[in-house]
Amino acid sequence: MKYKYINKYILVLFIFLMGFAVYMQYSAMENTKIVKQQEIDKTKAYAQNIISYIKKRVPNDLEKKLLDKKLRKELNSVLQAFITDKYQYIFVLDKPNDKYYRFLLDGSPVQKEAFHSIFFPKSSVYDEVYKHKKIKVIKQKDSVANVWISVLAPIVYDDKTEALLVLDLSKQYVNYLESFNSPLVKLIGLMQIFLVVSIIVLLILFYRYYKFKKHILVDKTTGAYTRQYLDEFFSQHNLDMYHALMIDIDEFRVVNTKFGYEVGNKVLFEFVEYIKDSLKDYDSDFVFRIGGGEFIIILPKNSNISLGEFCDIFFKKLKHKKYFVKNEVVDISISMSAISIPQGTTSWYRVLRILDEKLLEIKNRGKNDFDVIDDKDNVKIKYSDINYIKDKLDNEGLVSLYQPIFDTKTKQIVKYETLVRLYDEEEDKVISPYFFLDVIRGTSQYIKMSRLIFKNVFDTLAKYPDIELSVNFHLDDLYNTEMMQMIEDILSKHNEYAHRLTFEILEDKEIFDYEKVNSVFSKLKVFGSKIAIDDFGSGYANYNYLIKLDIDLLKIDGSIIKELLNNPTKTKKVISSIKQLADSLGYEVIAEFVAEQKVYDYMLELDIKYSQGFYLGEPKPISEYVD
Amino acid sequence: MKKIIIVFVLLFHNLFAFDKDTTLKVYNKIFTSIFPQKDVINIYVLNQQYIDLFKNSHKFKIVYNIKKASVAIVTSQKELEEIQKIKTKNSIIIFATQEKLLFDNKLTIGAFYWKKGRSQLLFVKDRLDKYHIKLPNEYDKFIIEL
Repeated sequence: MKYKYINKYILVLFIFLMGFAVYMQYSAMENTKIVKQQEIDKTKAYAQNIISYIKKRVPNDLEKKLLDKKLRKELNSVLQAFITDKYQYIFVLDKPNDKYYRFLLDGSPVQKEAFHSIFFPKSSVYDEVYKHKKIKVIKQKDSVANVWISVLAPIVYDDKTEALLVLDLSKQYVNYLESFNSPLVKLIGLMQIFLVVSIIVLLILFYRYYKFKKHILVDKTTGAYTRQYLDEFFSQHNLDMYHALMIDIDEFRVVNTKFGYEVGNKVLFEFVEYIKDSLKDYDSDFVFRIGGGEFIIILPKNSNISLGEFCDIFFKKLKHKKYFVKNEVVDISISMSAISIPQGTTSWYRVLRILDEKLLEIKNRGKNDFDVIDDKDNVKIKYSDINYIKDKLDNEGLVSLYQPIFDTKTKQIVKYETLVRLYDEEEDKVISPYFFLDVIRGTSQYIKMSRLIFKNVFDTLAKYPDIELSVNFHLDDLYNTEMMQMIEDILSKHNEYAHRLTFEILEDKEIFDYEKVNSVFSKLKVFGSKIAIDDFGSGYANYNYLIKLDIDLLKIDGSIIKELLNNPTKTKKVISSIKQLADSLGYEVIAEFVAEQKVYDYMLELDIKYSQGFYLGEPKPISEYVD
Repeated sequence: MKKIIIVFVLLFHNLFAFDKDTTLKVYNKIFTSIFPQKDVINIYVLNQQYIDLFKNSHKFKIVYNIKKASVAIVTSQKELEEIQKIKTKNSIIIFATQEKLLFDNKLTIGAFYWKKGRSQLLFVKDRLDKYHIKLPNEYDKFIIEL
């Protein structure tokens, strides 16, 4: 789970839980409502049954027949049979001559109302039932003691209402019905309280976090955001929605030295305020201080102006700005690099590196200027993104190309150098290791890539039994136990092909432990593999190597070979001396960067045994040379 | 059997439940309508429950001398008989808390009581006329002729 999504997930979870709690409460209420309605329906059915019984027992002239005390007693007993904790009162009323309601029957076991005693209210609802002969349900007011619902049912003879049967459902019973769901309702209530308390706690924590964040994420001296916030900002926002600018105040040290730190800080503060003010028109206030006088500005891409135009205006504004401190006019100049962050960029640090490199370039050429990084430079960001590289390695995006090494005299291919590339399907082009090798060195991706290369190499050796291959091998790899174990395992597994493999040792640092390096070389040679020193004559590849290392080949550095075109006399002498030395020590010599006929002719003249370069053959899939 | 006992207990409890607030409001409205000119109405009542009901009301003042009372509230036959023994110059208005006391005694102008959980208010027309009491129209539905 990505950190930037955690807050969203928590919010969604809370909304879901709140929704669930509300739904549960609604369900419980609906359930209770259904149960109540069922009871009302049952009561209506009871009312009809009681009326049927009364009509069966008294087929006509109800009021007159009920003058018979015995019959009243019998029917009162019938009504009384229904009196439980569910029914508070059951009684029958009539309304002679449209005057007052009077009791005809009363099912109450105690305080039974007298026959013909008056009963109020003169209710319009009672009258309505009397008139329209339709059963009706009344929700009683609180002032009617102990009665929840009254069901009024007309007792009709010959299409004329002669009396009303009233069944009062008790409040006690409705409380009982509501208590069915009360544990669930209580639980839901507790859940809601818990959620509300949690939300309040979260809000308090969020507020405290916000205060704390502001404290640590805003630079006190300038009011700009800090680098921490910059990192956090891009952990929560897509990089490719923004332009980024890096600004460095040229020689800001001088301001501090000349006017003191207090003045320097005031200048910085005013500088940031001026930038913020200038950015208002572009929907941004994102100014980050990343060093003493170094700032990053983030600008949304939705601005109505191109990055180039913006930089032009912005740079001029900053250039002409004067700072008045303590009656002094302080002039400062800035250097600025800017980039429109390319689509799909995921690493802010790559962007920062590119901006930094460009800024350094501006400073080296004299400062007080700006550059907008173009699309060509943007490629660096894309191909230097470790996630992009990882994706390529995981999805067969690694390709091995092979450049032939020729016998200079016979112009016959004797070997191929394996060169690793990534393949960009979208652009349909291969990507040089220049972009990605340094990024992954020291990571698990580097081991993964090496494993893939060796797999390709041995697959090629197995498929083509008449060819030899060389593979580049970095000096650091010799010290990497995991890498060496992997190579030894592969060589053991493909022992029969190992003698057709040459390891070209690349290095960019001095060897101090020759014993260790020789020990590794010995292990490789046990399998029959050869060792070549790459780029001899430049950097750290020096004569010590020839004395102390047990090698088979010397590959003269390309920069020396290239010099043949500019300074042939001296260069030929150098190459000739290397060749003589190698011959005397029994090493074979390869010249790389043989890029044109003239260079090749020099190789023939100097009797260099092997040549390699674009003039002779470009890196290609092996099938294009062998099949 | 246990259930029946519970039902009986509840019924008795409910029957004699005395809703003080509603009762006081109703009396307040009735007597304010009968004596619209009086700010404080002197009331004669012997039943302790009703004494407790009226004693904290600003509208009513309990008097223990019936001659000073504007209205007497009777809650039993015994109280009614005692009141009838006392002859006053001005005939006192008697109001009952039971239906029986209204129908059995011609001096009682009205009654307020509870029946099946519902409040019951009755006035007898000729008795109101006798005391020249004119009630607002809203009471028409509670006036009966015997």
